[in-house]
Amino acid sequence: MNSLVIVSVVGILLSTPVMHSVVPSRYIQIPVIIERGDSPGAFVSGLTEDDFEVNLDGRPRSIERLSSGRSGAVVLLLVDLSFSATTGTPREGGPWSGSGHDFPGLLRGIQKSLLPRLRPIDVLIVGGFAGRRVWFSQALSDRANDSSVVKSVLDVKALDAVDWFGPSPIWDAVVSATRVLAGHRGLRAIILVTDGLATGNRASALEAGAVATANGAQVHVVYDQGGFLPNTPSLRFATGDVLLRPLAERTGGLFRHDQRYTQTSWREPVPPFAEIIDAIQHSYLLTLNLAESDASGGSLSVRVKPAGLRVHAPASLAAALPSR
Amino acid sequence: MLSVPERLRVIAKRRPRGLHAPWPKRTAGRKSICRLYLGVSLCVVAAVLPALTSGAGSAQEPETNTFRAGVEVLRLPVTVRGPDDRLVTGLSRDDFRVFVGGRPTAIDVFSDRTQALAVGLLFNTWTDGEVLERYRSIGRAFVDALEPSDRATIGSFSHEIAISPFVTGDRTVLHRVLAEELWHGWGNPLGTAVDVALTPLANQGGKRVVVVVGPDRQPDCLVDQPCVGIGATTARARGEEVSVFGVRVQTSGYSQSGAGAVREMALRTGGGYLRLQPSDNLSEAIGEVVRALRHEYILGFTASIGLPSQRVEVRAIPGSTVWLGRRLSAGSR
Repeated sequence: MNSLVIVSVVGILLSTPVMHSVVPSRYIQIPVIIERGDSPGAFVSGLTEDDFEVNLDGRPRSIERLSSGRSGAVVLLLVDLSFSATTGTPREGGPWSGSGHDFPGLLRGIQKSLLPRLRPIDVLIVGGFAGRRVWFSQALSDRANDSSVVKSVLDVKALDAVDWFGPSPIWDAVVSATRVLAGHRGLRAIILVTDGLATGNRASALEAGAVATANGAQVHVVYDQGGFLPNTPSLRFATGDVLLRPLAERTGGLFRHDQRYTQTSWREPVPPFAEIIDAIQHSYLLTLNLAESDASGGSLSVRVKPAGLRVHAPASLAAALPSR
Repeated sequence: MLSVPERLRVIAKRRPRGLHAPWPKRTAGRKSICRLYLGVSLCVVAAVLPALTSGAGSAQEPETNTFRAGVEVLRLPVTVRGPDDRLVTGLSRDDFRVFVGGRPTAIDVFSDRTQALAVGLLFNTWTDGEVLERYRSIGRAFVDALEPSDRATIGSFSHEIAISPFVTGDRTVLHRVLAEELWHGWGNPLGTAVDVALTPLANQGGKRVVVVVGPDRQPDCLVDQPCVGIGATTARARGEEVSVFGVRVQTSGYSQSGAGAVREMALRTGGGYLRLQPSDNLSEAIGEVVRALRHEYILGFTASIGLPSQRVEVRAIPGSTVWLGRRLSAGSR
């Protein structure tokens, strides 16, 4: 049962400054998703290096190597377990069951639509965060353990009340997840499930995206609005459209607003994990060989020659940001 | 119109539970102060502050301290609060009167000084959605009024209590927190929130203040939420010489303002209270608050050794209330 051992990184964010670094190599990896323009959710595979056009700061760059998610991916499922994102979860002695978020429904959605789509060649890491804590499972490649690890890592009842009612450092958790992924090769993706009500962060949303981009990690977002935003039009979608969607787009990931999950309609909510897993497994990983002078960042443009295709790619190579 | 879900029923005055080390309980009161000053034969008796402990109704009564002393020059930090609860600045030595044992005493030392601020700026986010944007405007005005030597941390409290990990003078960071980290919520765990905010201020120099922005409603904690009472937090703030200042923001509907717990904390810790009106110019109003917070009067006067405990009373301009700081410093004349 080694796979059930949870690697805790409690206190990492408190004890170390946020480090922003570009991959320490002249080789830069860029994850790219290609989607049919006339059919959202239909992801395109089979493209070759010749189909891509990559420009950095307006100058065309050659692709050193092209690989894809078809040969395996490392998926880090990162779930916000703070109070605002999990209210409705039955806690022993608490009155929260049956309203707000349907967290058990989220777990069912993960079990039904995410885990079954992982392949033996994929690696799964499960992470959670609440208060000042962020924690991750070991890397799982044996699909038989996925379900039990998800339940174990995402156990809201096990949370200390101080953490559950504490801050929601979403951006710091993304930075921590990126560090965990940095130890793995190949296509790396974070699936972030959150209501976006970020508080108590060392990193900003922009910095979290920059760190992920600099380390070649996509950030996909399942936006779970929940019941904590008032029906004020200007605020209703603020966290999703203002902070979470840009985070996904800056890193070449997908943003999905989980309508069914957040309508609290008491149907079994199934988040759109299937679409995101499909996108990850159809992703391309472009490796560029850059001069040292390029490695600090710049605007990035990725296009494909075939018509009618939509490209999801980072908009820039993240610059090295000053550490604080 | 929003309604409070029944599931979010609140329970007030819950006992603290599940608290971690970062929220230490401090003892503040008669014993600690006496121990502190017995070495120089001074003993401040905190319990003789009826004006502070009896609530709003006695806000205009003069404040007194009792001490035992030899021939010493006592230096006493004081703040002055006007009838509208705002802090009063710009007073001169002639505006103060000191009485020791009921007898007028000359003010030998007068200082009207400013200090760098270390501020915890807290927002109670149990409020209407539209108010959050006003909160952000208040926060921006506050940050913009800070001097380069000032430091601040920003936090929010409702169903979650979150204090930024930064205590910084970097305005970029502070503005980023205001833009990204204020969200609507439920609940008003005021005592716990201020208690949490005291911890990052503990190691800061200068004048330390927790500024609470919100409708000043009845404090409550949600079921299961760690809860520290107003009295315990106020005692800790006094013991650690941190003032609380309230900025009351008018709201409507379910989050009507006016219970006054923040004001009570402010009056008991040497802070002040601003009733912000919708028509107020935020830059001016908040700028005035920041300038006043940075300000402190020091009064020095002589007392004789060998006398029994003496009552010290300080009066300022008519209609004002003088708050006497807990720190007395003494030196030979």
